[in-house]
Amino acid sequence: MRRLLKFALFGVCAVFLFAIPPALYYFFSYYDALRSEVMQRFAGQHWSIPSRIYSDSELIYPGLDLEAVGFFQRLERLNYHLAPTGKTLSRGEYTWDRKHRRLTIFLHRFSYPYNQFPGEPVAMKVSTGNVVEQMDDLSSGRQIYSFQLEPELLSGIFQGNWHQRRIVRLSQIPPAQIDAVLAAEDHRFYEHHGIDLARTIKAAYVDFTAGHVRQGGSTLTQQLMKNFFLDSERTYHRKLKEALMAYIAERLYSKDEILENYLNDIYLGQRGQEGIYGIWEASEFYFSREPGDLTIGEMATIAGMISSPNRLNPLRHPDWARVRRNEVLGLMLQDGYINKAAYDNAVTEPLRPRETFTENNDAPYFTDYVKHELADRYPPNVLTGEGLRVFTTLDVHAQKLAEKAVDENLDELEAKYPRLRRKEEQNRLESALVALEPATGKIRAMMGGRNYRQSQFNRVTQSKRQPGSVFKPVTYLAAMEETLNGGPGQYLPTSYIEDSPFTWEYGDMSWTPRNYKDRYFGRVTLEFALQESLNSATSRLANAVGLDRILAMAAKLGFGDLPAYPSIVLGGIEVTPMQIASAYAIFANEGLAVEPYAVTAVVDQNGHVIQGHELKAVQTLSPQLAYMLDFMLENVVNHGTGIGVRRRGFKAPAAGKTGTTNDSKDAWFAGFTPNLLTVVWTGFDQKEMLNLTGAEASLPAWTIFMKAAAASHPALDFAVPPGITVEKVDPLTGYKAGPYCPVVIEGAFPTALAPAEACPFHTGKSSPVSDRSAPPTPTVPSEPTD
Amino acid sequence: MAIAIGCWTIFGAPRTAAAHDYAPPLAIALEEESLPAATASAAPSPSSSGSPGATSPATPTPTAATPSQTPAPTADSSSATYQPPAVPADVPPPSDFSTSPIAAPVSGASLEPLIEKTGDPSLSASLRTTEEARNEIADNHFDEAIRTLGRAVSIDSGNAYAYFYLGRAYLMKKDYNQALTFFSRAEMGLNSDPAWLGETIGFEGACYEELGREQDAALAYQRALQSAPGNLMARAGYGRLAAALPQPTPVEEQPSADNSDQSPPEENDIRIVPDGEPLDTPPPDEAAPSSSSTNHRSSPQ
Repeated sequence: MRRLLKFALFGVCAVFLFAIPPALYYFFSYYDALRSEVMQRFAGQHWSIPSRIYSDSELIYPGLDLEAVGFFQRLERLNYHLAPTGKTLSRGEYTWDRKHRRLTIFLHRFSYPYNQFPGEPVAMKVSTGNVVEQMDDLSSGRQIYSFQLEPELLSGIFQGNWHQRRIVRLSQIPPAQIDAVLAAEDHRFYEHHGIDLARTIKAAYVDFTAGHVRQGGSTLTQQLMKNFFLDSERTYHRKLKEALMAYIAERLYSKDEILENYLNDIYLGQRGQEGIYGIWEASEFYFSREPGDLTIGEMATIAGMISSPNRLNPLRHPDWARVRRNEVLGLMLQDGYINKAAYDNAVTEPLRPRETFTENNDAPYFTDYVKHELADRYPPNVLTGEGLRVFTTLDVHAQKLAEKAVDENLDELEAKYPRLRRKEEQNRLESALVALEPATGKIRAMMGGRNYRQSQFNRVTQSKRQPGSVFKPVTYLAAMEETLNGGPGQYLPTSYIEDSPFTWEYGDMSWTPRNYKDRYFGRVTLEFALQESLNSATSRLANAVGLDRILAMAAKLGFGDLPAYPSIVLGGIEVTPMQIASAYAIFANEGLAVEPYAVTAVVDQNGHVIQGHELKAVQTLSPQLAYMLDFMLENVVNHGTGIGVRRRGFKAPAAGKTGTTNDSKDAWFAGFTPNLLTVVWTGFDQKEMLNLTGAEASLPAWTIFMKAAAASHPALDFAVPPGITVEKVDPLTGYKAGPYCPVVIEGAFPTALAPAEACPFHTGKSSPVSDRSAPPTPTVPSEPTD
Repeated sequence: MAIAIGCWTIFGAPRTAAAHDYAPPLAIALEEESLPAATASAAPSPSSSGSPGATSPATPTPTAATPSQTPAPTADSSSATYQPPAVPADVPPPSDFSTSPIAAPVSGASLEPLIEKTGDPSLSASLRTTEEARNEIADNHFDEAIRTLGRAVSIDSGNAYAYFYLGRAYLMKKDYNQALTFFSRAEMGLNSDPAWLGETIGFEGACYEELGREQDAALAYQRALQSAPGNLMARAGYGRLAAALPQPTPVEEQPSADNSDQSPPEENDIRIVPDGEPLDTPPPDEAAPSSSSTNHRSSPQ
């Protein structure tokens, strides 16, 4: 017996001497490693905060047609709630009293790049035509003349998953929200040291009897450790590690620091691919308000979601969310966070999350374009992790209109021309549309294709196609510029040129351009030649002016160095729709070139503007030259190949040009008002024959889009610059038209060259002169000079 | 050595000009000349934007374009930008502006009267935004003003006043070429209001002067005075730079039929015109007035 005792004692000593030290050594090493991990995680930047890309804001002012700017759809996308008329509004709510035509809205707070908008209640008197008549700031009681509706979130720039959160200090979160979270998840948070033993033992008993981990006994600290470091696997080993890390965190950091991290980190649901993290994001997403503007019931709803965000989502499962909300309210009452009266109020409060909507507000081609631009300036880790806010020029309403126009047009074309249908998605007929403001360069809408999910190839900026006749204005500009500069040739809109078969010899080669359907008109004015897009007449003009002048003009318009072949005058080059838009914007903007752009400002996490934009312009063409061309392009729309614009109901002053390539593979329409320019291209990516003109394939989409988009802009006429005279002319004689002239056209002339004398031939006193025998106006030589 | 550099830096370094040090020619002129007190001009009448006028635009000198994803027009001085034809040298001098009262600068006044008079909602909104920018310029916040004016142009691209103040802001930032571009653009929309037009062209003169283009500056001041004889800046500028104007081509002497040995008439002599001989006629104006404005607002579709 004594020997047994001795042996046992020896065994115990051996364990102490040989087993426990290594075990302790292993444990302390493990503890130290976990400690380092915890410290590293808490120090510095805790999270990768994705950058966000926003649309442009919308200015609302008296006289604005709310329907034309899609005002109510914007409110929906911006998470404004429609509240019952007469209700006292909270931020993010609006009422619409149709009977009295009164709209009241409590605007969100918003941090613009250069100013903070506090969010004010505004009342608007709206006419029966949905036009704003008057606006008042309800907080000051004064009349106001404009306010900005904040930009819409388009997309994020992130790596892996999009974890959207807004980092806030604990002091920015209302105490009642904190109380709700503690009541729901860890009411002894301020008493334990990372692990709540009583709760853990109870949970362990439940798990043991169930045979697996079933109930979480985790404290907030343990949950935070799990989110920071661990996966969601429910094993004993993971639970032990989590407990140890929680203990370490409690020893190193204060309760407030741990709670702040928790409230910023907690996962609270999903919006598409975007994960909602943190109390602030959840508050804005589910209730369209900041945490400080929520009711006790709404705070309890968010707190109740923590245990199961998707199942207790108030948007998808409002009944379950309400039940859980009331549970949390009960716990808050029990813990003394709220009194009985507040509890009674809150449990009877209807659960009113924002209305769900299926329409998204992304513009994937545009945001891709923005991301490419940003990637040139910022490294990837900054874009995906520094929480930049990128403000852009996109008008979401215009973007929606563009999507609709392109979709509708392609569907109609495929219905009307079954030969255009393709079974395989990647081979289908495609289209691209870009809209921009000529005066500012703002890109307002961009459709890079019909289906982004199927193809991310942006046909606006990446697809080089032959422009065909949309390139013709370059020749007419070069010709008229020579005249304005006092050059030897005189090329005016009413100058004549021969439209008949012609061969251009250059070097040892020759080129014979042909008219559409081989139809020739003989002696025509320059204006008519452009209006009807006559290939032969244009080529003769180009031949007379000289290829070098045309290339110089093309370079001025941003087409770069082009090869010196005659066929370029008819668009025998490859360009992108954006290049065409850029050039036509110069025509629309009275000769001023403003570079198209998409990014207005980039703001860092601390609110500093690190990138801005200034309006700058270059006088590329004289205003007089630009106007002369605009006048001719207006004729294209009013009388020529673009007349479909008028026939489809677009009434505002507009100019434009159709474009069809000789091989019928590309169809274009580029057109503009003084305020808005849009270019549409249609064709197959594989360059199959389309056999449709620009007027048939692209003009309809342009018109559908512009009828709606241009309605929100003032209907301006093209400004006549000094030194230009618009005159009615008899094209048969070249004189000012009189009442007896059989043919009268209107043209824009340099004042010094405008016809000054009335037509002496058609006076009504003698028989009219035969059309073809009229005295000549100075004409372009009809024989090629090369 | 370091101490020497430090002392030189503190006590001897030349003062560099800051934006607020800009003293436009107007200020210099006031120091040099004794001028009668300015009388307030009539409130500017509102002009519809983009109205045509009788004068030809000034001569902007474009700046180099910045390369970007979309090719912007290049600003090569030889071919890539509009270079208007040289202004003929025989522009008549402004007629007797010295008797015109000095007018206060119209751009210093609020745009409220214009805002109240316009019935066009988008122009009104654009003008209010422009008024914000005018105050920002007055507070020397030029970058802010440029951003605000970009918004104003976006609301209504026909707002010529926005372009005017863009010119002012870039002038204060010493980007004279950019200022010229916007003043020139503003001219087109302001040419139905002589006071505003004169002021716009006057500022073009100031830009040319800063760029060292004295002849262009003088011509601009001259044109400004033709529109607004009371414009002080143009008067002062014309006074300084009139000598830079190209001299008129001397007229050839017409020999007398009976007195071939007579000496040419002295300056200020009255020339007696024989019967039947046509009187001299003044040279034609540079550009004839164009027809009245056609930039009216079309009715919405």
